[in-house]
Amino acid sequence: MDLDLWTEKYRPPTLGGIIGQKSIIESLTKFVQNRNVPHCLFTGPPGTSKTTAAMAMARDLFGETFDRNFMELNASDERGIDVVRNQIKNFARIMPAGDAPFKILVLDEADHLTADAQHALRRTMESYAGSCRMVLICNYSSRIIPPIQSRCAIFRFARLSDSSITERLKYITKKEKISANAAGIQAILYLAEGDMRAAINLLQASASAGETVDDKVVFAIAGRANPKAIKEMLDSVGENYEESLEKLRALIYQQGVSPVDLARQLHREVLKLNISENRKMAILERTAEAEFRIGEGASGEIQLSALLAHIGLERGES
Amino acid sequence: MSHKNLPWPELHRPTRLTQLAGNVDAIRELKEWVRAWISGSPNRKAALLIGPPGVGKTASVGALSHDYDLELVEFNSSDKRNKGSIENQVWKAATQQTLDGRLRLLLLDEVDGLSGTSDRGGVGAILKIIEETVHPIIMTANDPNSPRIKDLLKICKVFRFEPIEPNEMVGVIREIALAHDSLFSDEVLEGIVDKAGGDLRAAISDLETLSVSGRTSDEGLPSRDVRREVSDAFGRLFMTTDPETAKRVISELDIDYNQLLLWLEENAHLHLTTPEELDQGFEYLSLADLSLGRIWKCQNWKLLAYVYDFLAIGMSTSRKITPYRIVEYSQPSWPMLIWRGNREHDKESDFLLQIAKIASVSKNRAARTYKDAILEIVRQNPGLKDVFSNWLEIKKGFFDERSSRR
Repeated sequence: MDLDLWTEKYRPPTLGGIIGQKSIIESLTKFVQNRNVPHCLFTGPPGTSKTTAAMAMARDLFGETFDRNFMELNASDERGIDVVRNQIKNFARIMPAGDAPFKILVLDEADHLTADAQHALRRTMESYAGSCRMVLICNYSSRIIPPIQSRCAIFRFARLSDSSITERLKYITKKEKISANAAGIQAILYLAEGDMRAAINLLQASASAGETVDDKVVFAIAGRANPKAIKEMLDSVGENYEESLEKLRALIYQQGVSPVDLARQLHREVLKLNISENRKMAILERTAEAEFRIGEGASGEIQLSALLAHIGLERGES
Repeated sequence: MSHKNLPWPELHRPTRLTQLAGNVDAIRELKEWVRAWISGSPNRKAALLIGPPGVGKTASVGALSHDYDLELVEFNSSDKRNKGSIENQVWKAATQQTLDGRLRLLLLDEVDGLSGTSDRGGVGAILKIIEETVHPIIMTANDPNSPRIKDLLKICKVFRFEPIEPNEMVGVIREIALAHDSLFSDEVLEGIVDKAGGDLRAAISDLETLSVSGRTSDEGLPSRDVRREVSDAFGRLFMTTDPETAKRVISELDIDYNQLLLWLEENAHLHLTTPEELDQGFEYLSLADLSLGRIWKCQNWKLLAYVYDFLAIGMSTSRKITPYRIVEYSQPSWPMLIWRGNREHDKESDFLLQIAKIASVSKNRAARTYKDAILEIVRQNPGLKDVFSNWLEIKKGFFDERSSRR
């Protein structure tokens, strides 16, 4: 089973298995108990259990008839008005199978539906409410037209806390019989930024090397620098520019971190520096500029060297 | 499927006019319009109901058909509505008599949702049907400024539906809660209504969510009122000087970056009152805007993180002298200004087109050579306004607006 994707393998099949989002899961569980689900709109950043919650709710509700009463459409693949007028309407108008009270249609990435398609959806939601309930999933509810929002119960999913992600990662390491130390988990948390999917993918990739998952492996797999190395580079920049330049080159050429990723990590570390907010913002401005120039084809090393020089100036004056 | 299982907004959809909440005047006039149809002398053959979601537009049509015993035929945007299908299906329904001789009430729901591509020619076909119909036609739309309903506004009797008053909404959802043996305190009911922002369907749906999930307070219920949500967030954003807090406030706000930028542009000056603060704040706004432009141009989405930081940290740290105060935030105005500008442009365009036709020149040439001359003539002799507006087949107001502006 080595080919399994852990994000799918460990996707909790039931609402009870979902970590975090406590009050939302409580509400959904009650919906299942009462066998009545309103049209729902799940919004929130990626990797915060939105799709998992929608599927788990349907599975809890339907049991054995899940396959016949559940459909998932990814709206970013099929996002035109014809999808709504054909596929969705055809699914929604047919009565549920077995003893299910209604069917459930999950529209993933619903904010990618064109405005026209969203308009076409609104009466379908009402006309066939008896036979089908919809769960719309998106990152920002503001991209869903107001008449649709008006027809939905809205649930906002927050970024997952580090402790929730840690809990899940530890569970997976136990099941997969791999070893991961605290520094490794910490590194995954740093890179995942509250995104469970990213965290699990990173864990699987790191574990595939067959060694203990520690911070070194994780950062190497992700192609990122250890934040410690970035911090050291920033610390030496004021007094000894050459030294920090050497560190920069080591990161680019020895560890193979791409300059764009380095710029992003610098961005993150700069905000933690102990200098005035104005200076931070001045550095940030330069960082954004450097990242843009690199994107335009400028040399990463030169741009980052220049950025370091500027950071040295800002730090030296403070 | 049992009837009981319907979502509450459907289950409690009003079926008679007396059950409708709010918009008393609009509904009374609508009734008169239908009566005029029944007695055979409508002054306008079609009605257009305009208003935000969840205020009873579609529901009042259903109730009308019930109360006046009309055969209701509905076409909405889940059906294909291009020129061909409207000419075919809607035309048949509009021009043929019913079997039992009753009037038929045609509902064309969500006409502002006519698709630009797959419903091509739809509006033109509707206009033609309105001319020929022997049955009343009612259309609904949310957006009064939608270009798709521009031509419909001219020939339809327009009824405006407003958001429903909070106390009225509380009354409605209290009754619904009672019908389901769900007890909520007045405080919670008011909280639900408050968050629904005048949308009764949303309020009923939120009531259902709370009731079914067994919660007893409206805490955690997300606000549906963007303005209120943004106001809360901005209050916290400008109160703090801590960049981490500022970033968190912005990341929790559920509107996208384009709108966020507009909101900040409109409101930043309320907190940044000294020239230095304002200069710095708007510099960051401009940097955020620049980054967005670069993202679009190069599709380099990695820059998005900077947009948020420029906005969050830039705004919260720009306030240095002005003490924090509670202020009333206003909605971004420039989308509105652009719309107004376009409308001005449209009017001017009609005017120029007429001149262009009469003088057989291009519109550009008409603007360069004739426009100022005609405006000046009218300004010197206001009595000629009628003559010119009749001649050019434009509204008299056109000259009033322009001469007063000088």
